Amino acid sequence: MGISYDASVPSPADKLVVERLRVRKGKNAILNGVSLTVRGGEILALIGPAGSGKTTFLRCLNRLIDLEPELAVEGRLRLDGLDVYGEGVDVPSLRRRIGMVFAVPNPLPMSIRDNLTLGLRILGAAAAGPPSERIERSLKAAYLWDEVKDRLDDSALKLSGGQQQRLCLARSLMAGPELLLLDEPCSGLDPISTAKIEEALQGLKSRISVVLVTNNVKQASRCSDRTAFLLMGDLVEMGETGLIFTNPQNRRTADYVSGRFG
Amino acid sequence: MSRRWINRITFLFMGLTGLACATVILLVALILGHIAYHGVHHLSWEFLTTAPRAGMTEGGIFPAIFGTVFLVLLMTIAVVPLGVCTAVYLQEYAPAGSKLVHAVRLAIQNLAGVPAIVFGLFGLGFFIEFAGRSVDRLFYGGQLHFGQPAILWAALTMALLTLPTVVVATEEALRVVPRGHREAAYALGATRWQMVRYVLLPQATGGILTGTILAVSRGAGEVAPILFTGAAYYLPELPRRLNHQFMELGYHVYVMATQSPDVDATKPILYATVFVLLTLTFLLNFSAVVLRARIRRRLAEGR
Repeated sequence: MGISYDASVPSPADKLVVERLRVRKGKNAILNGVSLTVRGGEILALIGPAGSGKTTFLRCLNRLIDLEPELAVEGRLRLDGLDVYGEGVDVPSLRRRIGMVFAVPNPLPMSIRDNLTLGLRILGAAAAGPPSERIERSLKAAYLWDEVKDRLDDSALKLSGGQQQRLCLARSLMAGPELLLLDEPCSGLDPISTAKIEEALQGLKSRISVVLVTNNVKQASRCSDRTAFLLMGDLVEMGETGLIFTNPQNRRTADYVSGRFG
Repeated sequence: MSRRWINRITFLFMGLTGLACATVILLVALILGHIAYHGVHHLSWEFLTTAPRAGMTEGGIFPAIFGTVFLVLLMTIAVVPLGVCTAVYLQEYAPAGSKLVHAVRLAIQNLAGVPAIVFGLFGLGFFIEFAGRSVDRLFYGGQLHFGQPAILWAALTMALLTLPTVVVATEEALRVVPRGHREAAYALGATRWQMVRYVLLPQATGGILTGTILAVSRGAGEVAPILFTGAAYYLPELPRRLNHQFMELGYHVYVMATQSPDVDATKPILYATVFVLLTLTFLLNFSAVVLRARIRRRLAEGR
């Protein structure tokens, strides 16, 4: 079987390699040297109880952690070979390659269309394709198109919580990211919106690698290819999602996924 | 204590606090009513559009209205960019908890507490004696152009006085923008300036406008800062250049109240002028309130 390098076909290569990622706040360690890889075109779920460092880990990947100067980050991150924390890295252009969806939907107080085109306006240039085409493609990928196609100029704040979160997903897709970071994207949503977002992720993963932080173990088992279990800043276990849930190697993983703690 | 006593004390406090409110309202009504009663009947189109005559015992106040508007306009042009930039720096760029931020905040607070007359003296010393004289030496070969009281210096002095208002209002408006909005922009690859430009400033427009209008209404009412820096007793012509002197409503009131050759003849003019000045500042304050409410609503609707 030959390997195609067409962008639409998942590359078996590692998309993101994290080596010994360590984050400290003063003397308190938040992450104690986490190493893992994210493969091209997979959904990697990050599970673990509150306070285990999942969100911090995620925020390291696109250097959003830079906004919290009190946190000291050590370790190596490589995105397709680019040293993410290397000297002279252009952080804004790094972040444009990585989409992010937050736990609380954060549409800006402007129209749906303006929310979507914000990234393009930041780029300052009309990138490939007219915006209306991109808007349609992103909204369809986020399973929101049918609900908003006739009211793109309405305020984004008039949407329901679930719609807002899908808008945020669509917004993060506008620039065509290679990696998508999701920080408990469904924590405040109803089951139907959750299902739509999970469906959207399945549609995306052929083109994009996804890191999905979730506090919902069932969500991880439903929609991820591999699962990593974080506990108190340590990576306890990582593997194929099926194996993690049916045959975990570590007792703490077994306890957590079966709901005995956390 | 018995229930009856508690009820009495409750009633007493309600009465006292209510009385305090009533006093405030009564005082405002008294001042406004008195001025309106004596001032309104002298108001006319002619009064608003002609210059004073006969040692200010006749004629109108047009040059003073014109001067006030001109002054306030110049002041706004100076104070808004400076104030907004200061606030953006303090709120977004300066490292949190740095000594510099602390020092600037302290300076702004102190600036707000400086008596207006001190600003006037500062303007005289700094703008006219130092800046103005330097401009004259450098560009006019020592001829007197800018080293004297002028509307430019008065406006800049007034801008200093109103700077804290704009800074504080802008900072407040920036502070209430949720963290999630900032992070949304950063995650999309915005630089700090782009985040400010596309996310913060649009949301802070209401606060900035409110601060501006409050600054304007303050600037329109203050007399002390322009006393030595550019206001004139009487001028036959309107100011046409930045280094001209000007007449101003507040100063005009002061002049008429203290230096009129004929007190009785001036009185109705004085009342009418105060009425115009008050109306102007009230209108500005009122529009600030309306504007703020409208922009809040618009933001809530997200358009």
